[in-house]
Amino acid sequence: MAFLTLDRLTKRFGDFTAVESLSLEIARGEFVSLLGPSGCGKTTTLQMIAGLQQPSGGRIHLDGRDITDAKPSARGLGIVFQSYALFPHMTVFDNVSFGLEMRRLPKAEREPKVMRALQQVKLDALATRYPKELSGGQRQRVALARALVIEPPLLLLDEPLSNLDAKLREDMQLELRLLQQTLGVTTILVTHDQGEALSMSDRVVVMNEGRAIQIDTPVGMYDHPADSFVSGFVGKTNLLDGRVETVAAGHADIRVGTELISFSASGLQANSPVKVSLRPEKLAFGPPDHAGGVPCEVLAAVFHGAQWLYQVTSPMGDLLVTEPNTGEAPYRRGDKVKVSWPETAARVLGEER
Amino acid sequence: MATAAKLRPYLLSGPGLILFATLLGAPLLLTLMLSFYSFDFTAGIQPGFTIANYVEVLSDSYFHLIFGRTFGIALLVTLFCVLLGVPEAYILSRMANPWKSIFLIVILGPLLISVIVRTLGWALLIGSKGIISETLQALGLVEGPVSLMFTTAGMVLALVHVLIPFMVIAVWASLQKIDPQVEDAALTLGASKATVLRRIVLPQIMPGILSGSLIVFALTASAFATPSIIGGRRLKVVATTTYDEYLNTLNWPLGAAIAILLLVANVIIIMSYNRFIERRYAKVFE
Repeated sequence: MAFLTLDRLTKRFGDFTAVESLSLEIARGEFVSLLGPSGCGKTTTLQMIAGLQQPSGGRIHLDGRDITDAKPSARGLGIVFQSYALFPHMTVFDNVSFGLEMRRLPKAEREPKVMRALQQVKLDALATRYPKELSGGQRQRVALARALVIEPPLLLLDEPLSNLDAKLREDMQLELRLLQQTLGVTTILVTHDQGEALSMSDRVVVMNEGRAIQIDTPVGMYDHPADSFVSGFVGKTNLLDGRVETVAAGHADIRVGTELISFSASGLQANSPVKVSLRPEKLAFGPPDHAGGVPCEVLAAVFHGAQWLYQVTSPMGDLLVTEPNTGEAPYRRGDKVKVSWPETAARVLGEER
Repeated sequence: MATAAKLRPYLLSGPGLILFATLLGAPLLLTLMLSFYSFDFTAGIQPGFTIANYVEVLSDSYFHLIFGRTFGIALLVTLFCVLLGVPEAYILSRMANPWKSIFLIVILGPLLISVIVRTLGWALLIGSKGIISETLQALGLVEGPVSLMFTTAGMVLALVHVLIPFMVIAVWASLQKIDPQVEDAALTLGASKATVLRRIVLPQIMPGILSGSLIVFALTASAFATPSIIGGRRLKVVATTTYDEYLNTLNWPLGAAIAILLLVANVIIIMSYNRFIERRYAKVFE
């Protein structure tokens, strides 16, 4: 039995359909990300769950209860807004305490709960400060504590990390995930950052133009993208145009550029156009006299610290290749190399739906 | 070079400073000097130095009444501007276009009309031969003419109308700064709409209300046109008293002393009020 069920949820603004018949089941304690480019309907979906937008169609069930028409104040969900939306005229303590006050909890019971929530986000020392006296990361934690202190059945995060700098964002990703797992609170994260979605979630929902394109685990999403949109949006990939030449049982030969590549794939039709996805990190360099692989020439090398990102020309078209930084001298522009990959690493994708 | 760079700010601000010095500073200084001169009904104004004018104003219960009335009216007008202007600004900020723009013009429109014309308009409405009086009599609701002319109520009514745009603008400005997500956050935390208004919106627009009050209070305390038309000689305030001392009694030194005392009282009230606001909200708002 799913904890949260979205049943053909739809939102229209006039002629514009922001969310189109979205169905999703989330289990208790699960961390699910809604991932997509801006305007894909992910935030609208979150606002409908929160009760800040009224759906044009479809139902929302939480823990067996239909909450589609419930007021936001009656849903009791914890929400972290993109702007944090802290109350600027209240101290950190009062901000966190507000939700408990609204629940008419006596003052004596509020205080330990607020302090525990602040300890969870390591802000108990700053309880008397005002939001304006805090850094961006600290404000974010206050917003999180304020959402968690009411012990919500569901935690909604609307791009909570997008206003933080890169280093802080990575720290917060880990911290948020740990906290979520400790508390076991069912969480929905809205983000346009695929790295964030992959690293934090149990499952990812990739959305585009109001529809859920694919719902899968991060690993499944990454290794088995449903179509070229997902493949391009989730992680870096080399997306190449090909044409199926011969089909055998569980196997196909596809011509990409001037190269003929064999794939383990089924359900393909001979002579049909396809897209081939090759993840840069699954490609490997070999010496030019290497037996297998595609002969390439290095165009550019970009240093990324832990790894090198190469752009190479190949008979299949330009490719991106990442190689771990092992400390050996990197390849340079003009170097002749062979690029190879395990047969299972290449994916044949349908056209973008 | 170094001296030129040092001089530059003074040279740049020079024209403005000269304008202020000649058009504001000099008359004020002359008024201050005048307030220490003495006056004799036969000999006229006598240069010299005496604090007799100040002693007269500060010790005479007639002037106490006028100063008390002036600041009392200023308080009342400020109070009504808060009670009417704050909800007005909030509703306005929640309207959708084009109504928002239309009603903003309706509220600010009176500022485009001379205060004299507006006040005469009020005189036509609230006078004993005015529309309100005639209508009430025609309906048989009252016997004999009713008039708000030469009453505190009439003066407050006209002044509130004249000054409420300043309150609306001040509150409007602070409403614009509120993050709409903050209200959403309070709603999702379980607050009712009324609670959101009281606990979230009102405290955030408090600086706007306070600065609007300051503007309205200062403008009312020194208002001249409206009190002189609605209150006339029967209901004098400090500004109209000063005018009469200058132009009817021709006792310029006494008029100057009254004007200086009004200025000093206004400055003291405004500055202490401002200090209070700054101390209260320094931690909360930038």
